[in-house]
Amino acid sequence: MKNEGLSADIKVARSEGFGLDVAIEIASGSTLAVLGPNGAGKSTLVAALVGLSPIDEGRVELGGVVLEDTDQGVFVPPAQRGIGVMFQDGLLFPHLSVRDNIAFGLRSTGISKGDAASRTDVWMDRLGLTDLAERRPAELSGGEAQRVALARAVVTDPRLLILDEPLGSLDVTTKAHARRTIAEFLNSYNGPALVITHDPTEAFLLGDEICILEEGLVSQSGTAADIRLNPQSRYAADLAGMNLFEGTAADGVVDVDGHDLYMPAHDVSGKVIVTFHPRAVALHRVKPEGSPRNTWKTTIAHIEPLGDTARVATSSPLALIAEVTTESARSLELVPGVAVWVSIKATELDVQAVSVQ
Amino acid sequence: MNRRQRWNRTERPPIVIMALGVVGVMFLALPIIGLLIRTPWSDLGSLLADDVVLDALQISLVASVAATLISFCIGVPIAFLLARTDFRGKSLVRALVLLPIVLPPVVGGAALLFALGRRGVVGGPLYDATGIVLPFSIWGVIVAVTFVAMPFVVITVEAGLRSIDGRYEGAAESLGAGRWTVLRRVTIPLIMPSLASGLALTWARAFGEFGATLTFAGNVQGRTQTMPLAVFVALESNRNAAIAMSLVMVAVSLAVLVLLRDRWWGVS
Repeated sequence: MKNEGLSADIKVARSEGFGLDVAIEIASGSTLAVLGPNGAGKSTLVAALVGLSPIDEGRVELGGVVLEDTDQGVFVPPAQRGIGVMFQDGLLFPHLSVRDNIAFGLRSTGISKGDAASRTDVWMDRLGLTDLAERRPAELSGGEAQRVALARAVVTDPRLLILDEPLGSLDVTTKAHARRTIAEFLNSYNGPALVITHDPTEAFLLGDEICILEEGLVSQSGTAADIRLNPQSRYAADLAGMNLFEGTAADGVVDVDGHDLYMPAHDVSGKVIVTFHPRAVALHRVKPEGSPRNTWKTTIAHIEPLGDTARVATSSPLALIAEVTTESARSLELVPGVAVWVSIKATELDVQAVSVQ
Repeated sequence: MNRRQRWNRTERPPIVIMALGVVGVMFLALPIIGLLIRTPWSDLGSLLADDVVLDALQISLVASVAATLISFCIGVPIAFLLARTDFRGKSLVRALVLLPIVLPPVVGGAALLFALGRRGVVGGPLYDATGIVLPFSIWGVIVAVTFVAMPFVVITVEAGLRSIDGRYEGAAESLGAGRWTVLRRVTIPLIMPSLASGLALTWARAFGEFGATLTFAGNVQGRTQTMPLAVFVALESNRNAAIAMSLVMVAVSLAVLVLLRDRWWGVS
C-alpha cells in the first residue's frame, strides 16, 4: 500500500519564527486533510511537496518514486513530479481562457493538440464548464473559477492531488455546492489526495483522516471522530473539537437520528451538517428555565480534563461534548453516570446544507 | 462589478486642481497648435517629397525600430537579472542602466566615440579586425539611439516583473511546464502591459534622439541624418521644410502611442 501512496518527511527551517517538521503518509484512494490556522506552515508544506521550495532535510516519495531526498541529493523539479495542485486563490492564468487554463498542463507536457483538446473537453463536460470554455478567469463566478481550478489540477491524471484551501474564497451558498463537487471527485479519485484547510467542517467532510498542524508540527492526527471527540491540545479543541451531526432539516428543525434540534433560522432544508462548539453546551443539574429550546435530559458518559476546562461527554439521546470550566464541573459534581440537563441555544448552531435542493 | 469600485471616489477634484490641470494641458498643446498654425499646408506634399526628408525619415524609422528590437533582446534580459537574481554589484548595474537617462546625450555620444570610435578602446581593434567603422554609418546611429533609449524598457519591465504574482509561475511549473514554457506562456503574457509600454517609450525616445546621434554618428544626409537632425539643419535654411518634418514626427509618434494605448493599456 505504502508504495502506491505518498510518504513524506519534511523539515524546513524558516528564517523567522518556527520551522516545519512534518511526516505524513497517504494511501492511494484516501484523503488526508491537514487542518491548521493561518501561519501554521500549511503553505510551506504545499510548496515543499510540489517542489516549489526546497526542503532542508527529509524525503518525499510518491508512488514508489523518490521525488526528493536530502540525504541522497535527489530533487525532482516541480514540472516532473506529477502532482496536481488546486492552489489557494485558484491562480488561474488571467490571460488564458477557461479551455486554455485547463489544457495548460497537457500542452506543457507535450501532448498533441488534439488529445489535449479532447481530454480538456471531457473535464469541462464533467464539471459543467463547457459553456464557459472561451471565458477569461475574470469573467467567472467564484464557484466557476473553483471548478476550473479543479479541472486544471486533475486533467493531467496526477499521481497526487493537493487541494489548498479549495473552498477558501467562496461565499456560503456556493460553498455547499463546491464542497459536494470536490467530495464527489475525491470519491472517484484513486490516488492519494491532500486537502489543506483552516475550516474544521471542510476537513471533517473531505478528509478520511485529519492531521492538525500547529506551529509547524503535527499536534494530532487520526479520524474525524478521534479528533472531534478527543482533541489532544487546547488548540485542537478550539479548532476542531466541534460537535458535528448529520441530519435532515425542515421547518426550522433538524432531525438527527430521531432527535429534534431547533435551528436559528428556517432558511435551510434537506440534508444538513450541524456543528456547534462544546462551549455552547450548558449543563445543569435541574431542568433549566428560560429560553433554550434545545433542552433534554441525559447522563454523563465520561469527563476529560483539558487545562482549565473539562470536556464532558454525554450519552443518548444525542451523544455530544460539552466544555465547562473545571470549577463548574466540580460545583455541579459532574462524574460519569450522573444525570444532567443539557441546553444549547439555537443561535449557537451552525447549520449548513450538504446539497442544494 | 468590481467590489473595489464601490469605494472609488469619482467626485470632482477641487476647482484649483482642475484649473491647474487645464493650464497643464494648454502648455502641452500650445507648441503643437503653433506648429499646426505655421504649417504651409498647400506646399506640404512637395516639401515632404524632398530627398532630404525621405532619407531622414527612413533612417529614423530603421534606427528606432532596430533600437527597439535590440532593447527587447538585451534590455529585457537586464530587467530579468535585476528583478529575479541576486548578485554583487547589482546596485552598480542599476545605476549603469539609469545613467543614459540622466546623462546629457552629447556626453553619451562622446563616450560612445571614445569606446567605439575608429580609434576607440573597442572600436580600434574592431576596425583592425573587420574594417567596420561604426561612426558615420547607420550602425552608428543604431548604437547611439539604443544606448540612450534602452533604459526605458529595462526599468519598465523590471517594475512589471516585480509586480506580478510569482505564484502563477509556480503553478505553471507544477503543471509540467519547463522554464521556457513558463516564460513564454505565463511570465511574458503577465508582464505584457509593462513590456509594451516599455518598448513604446524606448521606441519613442529612439525616434526623437538627437545629441548622441549627432556626436557619435554625425550628420551626413542619406547616411546618418535622422529626422531630428534634419529638422535642426532645416531650421537654419528652410523653415517650412522644418515645420513639415516636425509635423511628420508628431503624426508618427501620436499614431504609435494611440495604437499601443488601445491595444495594451486597456482603455475600456
